[in-house]
Amino acid sequence: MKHFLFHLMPYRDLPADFSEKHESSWIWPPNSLFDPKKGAVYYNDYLDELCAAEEQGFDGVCINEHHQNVYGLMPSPNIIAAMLAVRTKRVRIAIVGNALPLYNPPTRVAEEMAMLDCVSEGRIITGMVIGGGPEYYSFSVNGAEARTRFREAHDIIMGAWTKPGPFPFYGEHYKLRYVNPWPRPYQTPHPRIWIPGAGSIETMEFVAKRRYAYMGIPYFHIDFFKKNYAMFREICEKKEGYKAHPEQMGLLMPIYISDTDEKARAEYEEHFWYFQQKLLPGLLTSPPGYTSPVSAMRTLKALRSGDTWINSCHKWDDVEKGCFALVGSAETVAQKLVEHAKDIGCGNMLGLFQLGSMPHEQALENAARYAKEVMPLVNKSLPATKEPLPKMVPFPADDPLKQAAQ
Amino acid sequence: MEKEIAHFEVRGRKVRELRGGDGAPLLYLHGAGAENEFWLPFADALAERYAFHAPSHPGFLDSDGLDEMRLVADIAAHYADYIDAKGWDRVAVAGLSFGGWIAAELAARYPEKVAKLVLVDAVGIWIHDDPIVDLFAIDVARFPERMRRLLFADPKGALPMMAFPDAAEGGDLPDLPDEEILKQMNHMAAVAKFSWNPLLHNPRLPGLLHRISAETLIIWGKHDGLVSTAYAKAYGKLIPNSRVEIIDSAGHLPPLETPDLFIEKVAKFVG
Repeated sequence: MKHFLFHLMPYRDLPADFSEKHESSWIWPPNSLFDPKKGAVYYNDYLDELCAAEEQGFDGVCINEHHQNVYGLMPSPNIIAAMLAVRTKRVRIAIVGNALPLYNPPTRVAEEMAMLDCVSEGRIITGMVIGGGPEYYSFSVNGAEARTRFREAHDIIMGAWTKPGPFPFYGEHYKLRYVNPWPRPYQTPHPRIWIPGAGSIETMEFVAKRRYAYMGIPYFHIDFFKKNYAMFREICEKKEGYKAHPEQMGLLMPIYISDTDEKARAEYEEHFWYFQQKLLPGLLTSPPGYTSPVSAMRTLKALRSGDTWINSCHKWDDVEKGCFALVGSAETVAQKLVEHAKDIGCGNMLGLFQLGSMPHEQALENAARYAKEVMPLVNKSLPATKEPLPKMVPFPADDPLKQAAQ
Repeated sequence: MEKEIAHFEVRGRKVRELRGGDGAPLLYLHGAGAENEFWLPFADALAERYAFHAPSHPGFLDSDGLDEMRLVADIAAHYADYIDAKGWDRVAVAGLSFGGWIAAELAARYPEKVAKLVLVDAVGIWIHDDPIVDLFAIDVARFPERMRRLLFADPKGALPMMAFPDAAEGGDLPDLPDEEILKQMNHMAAVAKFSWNPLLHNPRLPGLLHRISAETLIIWGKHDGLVSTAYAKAYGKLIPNSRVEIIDSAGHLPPLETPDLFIEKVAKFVG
């Protein structure tokens, strides 16, 4: 198993009446509430937590992109990645991702990822995301164009990394006469590509066909994940004719470790509820056309069906049952993690070790205990496979949605 | 002509339409709510006076063409083709809300095709100090009453309660069948494609409206919460041969809220 420390960089000190006063934690919570002095502390704490992961023994760190919200203060993950690239020497830096439709032209992503890959001497993992629904409000970008923009941006970036430039790209959204970014990525032919998904079959097919890696979007019931990864593995096997490599799959989860299960819960619970009640509301806001109505309907149904989504948790028992967070002694966490990871077949474990209002020291200690006490147990049961990852195919010949531009 | 729900073809695109009645043709362009899905009282009344035609825009119900279009000007061109395909020389055009925007673009870009123009609570232009409300930012599932207040003079009336029902007991979704929710999602996605940004208007349209040659009636509900009566005045100023009539008892949807008053005004104006 490969272990990654994922950081969201949340706002830790929202006022007690925040939820009553503000309907949404995304797009519209007034930024007059942001205290820059606290911001200074947060960013430096969080950078320290990410950098500590290297000494603690993690294989990599993960960061992501969100705008205008209290859940994640990382509008530019590439800036954070730049700092990590010079402050660390060994860990992989997974940027999951850049929300491609928000970059115009998308060659910007190819350029910045390549810069980071050069500085870090090949430690970058490139995540490509459509971006959360709220980002489309925050940037006034048309959600009805999200999927087609993502598709074109992907083709531009991967074209920039695999085809000799300059070349023209003529899409519906982007018409670029000279695609030719300097620098090129350090890794040959380019960084690994990770794509998060929330169960859409179209996304799984896109990832499976290209031999990229599929990262499940978190905060769902564990059974929902199991179904999704089973579907991904099946698409790889039945449609694409290969067995998915474990490292083509990653499971992202809040994790907390203490001396005993009881102690862990007692230390953790308030931060979990802060996260759920103050940081998440509004996360699912989505503009018309952002997903196909059929997918949107499927999501609505999943959300409607009782215990699928994290916000259905009202008491700690619900959290435990759906495994919305892995919390307990090192033995308990390792045992549950191994059980779920075995079912899912994933070779990457992405842990959120700082969650909600959790203070810096506690987050550091939590990650350290995971690395020291949980990782060895997990790796004993689920050793990393020696098999190489499949060769990525950014432009499959049998792509049904192939752009005229290729 | 029998009243029917039928399909017509325009340059290979399927167009679903309500059509019925005799006399001079009247082309009615619907709003985001697809009030032409069924024969509603306002449509019945218009079909008693005119050869009433209410096509569904690309992306609405089973009308084709959405993939080929990005701008409301594209929809206007589509309706210019529609008018030609019908063999009409000139036609009276009425449009509500989003359909009013299309009607205004159609009349400005193809003035020779429009005999008379009726704009009803039309979006399409922008007043900086009185912006159109961001329809897309309203969480209808959670707050249906917000939509009702925005669109209707009487938000507690039977029609608004039916169109935007409260969530089912204990649920967080409106009490509507799946197909209905799916259809509404499709329609909002189509509207968003054309009007997410700039929001529900074309900044270039005011510079075109002087080209409208048809005599124009601008009908507005006094209680329109989405696009205020200031927009009626603004359209009135920009369209040369036009006048404004306000319906005191209507909101954003006069054909549905006050069909009698609406029909009376249209009939008097169109003849």
